[in-house]
Amino acid sequence: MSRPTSCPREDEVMDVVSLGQWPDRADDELRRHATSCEVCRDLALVGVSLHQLSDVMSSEVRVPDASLVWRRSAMLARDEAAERASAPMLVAHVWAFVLLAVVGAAWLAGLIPASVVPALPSDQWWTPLGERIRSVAAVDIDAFADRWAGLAVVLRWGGVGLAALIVAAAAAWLLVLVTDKNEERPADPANRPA
Amino acid sequence: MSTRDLTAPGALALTSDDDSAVAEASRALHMDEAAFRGFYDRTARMLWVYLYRMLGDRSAADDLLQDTYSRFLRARVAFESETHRRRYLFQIATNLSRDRHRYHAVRPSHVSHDEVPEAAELSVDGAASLTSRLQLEQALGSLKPRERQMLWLAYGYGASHLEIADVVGIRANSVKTLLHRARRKLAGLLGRPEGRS
Repeated sequence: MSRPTSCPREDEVMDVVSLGQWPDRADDELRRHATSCEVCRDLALVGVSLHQLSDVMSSEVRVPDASLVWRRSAMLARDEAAERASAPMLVAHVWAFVLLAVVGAAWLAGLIPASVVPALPSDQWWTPLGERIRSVAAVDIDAFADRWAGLAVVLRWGGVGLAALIVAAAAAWLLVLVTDKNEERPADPANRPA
Repeated sequence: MSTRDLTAPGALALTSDDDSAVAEASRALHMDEAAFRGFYDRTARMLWVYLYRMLGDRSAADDLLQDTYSRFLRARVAFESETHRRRYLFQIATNLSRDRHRYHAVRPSHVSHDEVPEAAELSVDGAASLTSRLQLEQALGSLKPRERQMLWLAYGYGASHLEIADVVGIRANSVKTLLHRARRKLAGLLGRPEGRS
C-alpha cells in the first residue's frame, strides 16, 4: 500500500504551526489526528522546527544599515550608467580606427614600388579604385624621382614604414579597446530574476 | 553565538563619500531611500537567513545579501505590490545562491559547533520530542539545496505554493509533491515521533 502524500487536515495543522501555537494551543482532536496521520505528523514536526529556527536566527542576525546598502547600490548604478553612456564612444573609436587602417593600407599600397608588388588581376571590380589610389599616393613622389632619386627612395620607404606603423597602431589600439571592454564586463550569469 | 558585525567600519567598501554623487547616482534606482529603508528593515534579516540556509556560509550570506539588494534596486521592473517586491528579491537571492553553488562549489550548510547557541533548543511537538538546533542544522545540511529552499520558504516564511514555484523556478503543480517529499525526508532525519496508528 502506498503512503499517503496529502491529508485533508494539513491546512488546519499548518495554520496553527504558522501562528507558533503548535501543539499547546491546538485543538485536542487535531493533535490526536496528527499523532496518527503520517502526513500531519511530519508537517507538525518540520513546520514547528523550521518556524522556530527562522524566528531564532532572524533575531540573532545583524545586517548592515540600509543606508550603506543604498549608497553602494547608487554608486553601482552610476557606474552602470557611465558604461552605458560610453558605449557610443566605443563604436566611434572602432570606426575611427578602421578608417585609419584603411587609409594607412591605401597609402601603403600607393608607396610600395610597382616592381615589389606582384601583378594584380586587372579584371576585378576594385581594380579602378586600386589604380586611382595608387596614382594619387604615388604621383608626388614620382615627380621628384628624376631629379632627386635618392630622396625619393627615402621618402618612399619612409612612407611605407609610416603607413605600416599606422596600420599596426590602429590594430593594436583596437585590440586594447576590445580587451579592456571584455575585462570590465565579466560574464555574470547571476542576475536573471523573473 | 557570535554574530558577524556587518555594521563595523570597513565592513562595506564604498567608492566615494561624496553625498551629492550618491544623490545623483541614486536617480537610477527605482526606490527612494526612505522607501528602501522600510523595505530593507522588513526583509533583510529574513533574506540573510534564507541565504545562509542556502549557502551554509556566513560571509557568503553577507556578500550575497548586499548583492541581492543592489541588483534589486537597479532592476527596471514596475512592482505591483510589496508581495511582488519580496518575491522578486527572493528570486534574485535564489539565482545568486544557485550560481554561487554552481561556480564556486560551496558546500551547503557546513555547521560548526560554535555557530550554534547552546541555549537554543527548539521544542518540537511538546514534550514528545526535543530537537536540538544542532540536529536540525545537520539535518537541513544533508538535504539537497532545492529541498532546503522549498522547506525554508514554506515553513520558515509561510510562503504559498505559488510563491515557492516563482522563487525556486519550478511549476506550481509540482510544489506540493516535492514539498511533501522534502518534508518527509527531513522528518526522517529528525527522527519523527512514532504515531499511534
